[in-house]
Amino acid sequence: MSEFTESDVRAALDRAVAGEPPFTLDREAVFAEGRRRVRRRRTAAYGLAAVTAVAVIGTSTLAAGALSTSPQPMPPAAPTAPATTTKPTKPTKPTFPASTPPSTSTTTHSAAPATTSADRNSAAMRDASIAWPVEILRKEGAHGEWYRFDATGTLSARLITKTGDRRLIVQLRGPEGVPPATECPPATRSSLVCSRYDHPDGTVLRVLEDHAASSIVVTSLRPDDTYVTVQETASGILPSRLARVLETHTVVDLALVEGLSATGG
Amino acid sequence: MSDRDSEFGEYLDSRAAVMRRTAYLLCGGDWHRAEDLVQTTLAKIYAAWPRLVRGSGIDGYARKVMVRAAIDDSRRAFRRRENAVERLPEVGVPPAGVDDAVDVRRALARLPAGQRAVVVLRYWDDLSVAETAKALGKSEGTIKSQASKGLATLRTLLADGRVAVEGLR
Repeated sequence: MSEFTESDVRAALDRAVAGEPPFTLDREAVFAEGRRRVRRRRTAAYGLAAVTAVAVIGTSTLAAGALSTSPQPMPPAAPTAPATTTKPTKPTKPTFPASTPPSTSTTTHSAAPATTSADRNSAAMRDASIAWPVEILRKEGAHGEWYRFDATGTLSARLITKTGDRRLIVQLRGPEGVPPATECPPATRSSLVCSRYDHPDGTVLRVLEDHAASSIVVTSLRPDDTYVTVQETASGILPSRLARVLETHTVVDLALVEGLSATGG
Repeated sequence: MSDRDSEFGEYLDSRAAVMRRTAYLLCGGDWHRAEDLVQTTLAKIYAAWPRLVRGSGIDGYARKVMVRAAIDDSRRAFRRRENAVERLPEVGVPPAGVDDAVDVRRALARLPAGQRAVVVLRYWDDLSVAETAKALGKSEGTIKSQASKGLATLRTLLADGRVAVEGLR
């Protein structure tokens, strides 16, 4: 390599980020850490204000005392109740009603449902009519069968093709916390294409395709407040395939599979 | 959801993936550290959001925070700590040109953190010398000199092929 120009560096950096694994940034954690920082900042500001106030009052009091030339008259003692002293109290242990033995953890067991929501969602996905591309030779789930959701409402599956693997991730979540965005972000790159649809049944659908990263994320917000996020990305495990295998309409179909719910049981 | 949350959420969705790639290069080729870096950066942006929105300098602030965090991180002695994990992490490896990509990552990782930041901001984020200088809080002369040194080092490492890069692991 006799010449190594700026365009060589750019090409090298491009190569370095090839084979990007699926994005697993925890949105909730970002918001939680951000809020923690805001709280810390406020607490620090109040603390500083309090320290400043004490310093100012202290300084002025000392200055007043030091500068006074005559003794200050003592105010008459106020007719108050006889002084009492408070005995230092021992830290008390929490007490429990006699009938309730102390326990370190409380678990409420309701009648166990016949099937869990993970089972119901897995069944809904299994029975969905999805036109999988013939290129997909096999689908392997991280939790057993490809359609299997875990208890947190996540399905992760390898889509195995002749030219390498892709990763399919389906996440279900309710409206609590910070929900996924259903609005299109401002256009920042030409390779990022976003569209939004309102279905007659009240479902809102957002399709975000990143042509540079060969990935797609479809988010549907359903009338029962369930968010279904479906994404196809590079697998991150050899042999990975850079090109997408699922057509946009297939990913949309996955996001609209009937019976998926994060809010029921 | 508050205005701050929804506006910041939009920002996060639109930038996080791009930020992760920059972070990945800044920290010398580790996707997990890159995600940590992005998370820290985004949390700081969240905390400063009202001020940033008023000043409309969000991307500049994000870049500054991320670069500083990457440089600080690389200076820490415990940077190469080992973490116990339940599952092996997924490591992105391209199907073709694997060795080539790995060579570039290793070569990049060999650059001093400051020099690497200059190379990434100049040639990945396509910032001008002046913008890079502002982001890193250095003079334009320093940026030019570090960019030149960074290029020279990369040239040497990559020109000699795998032997040179592997020898430096």
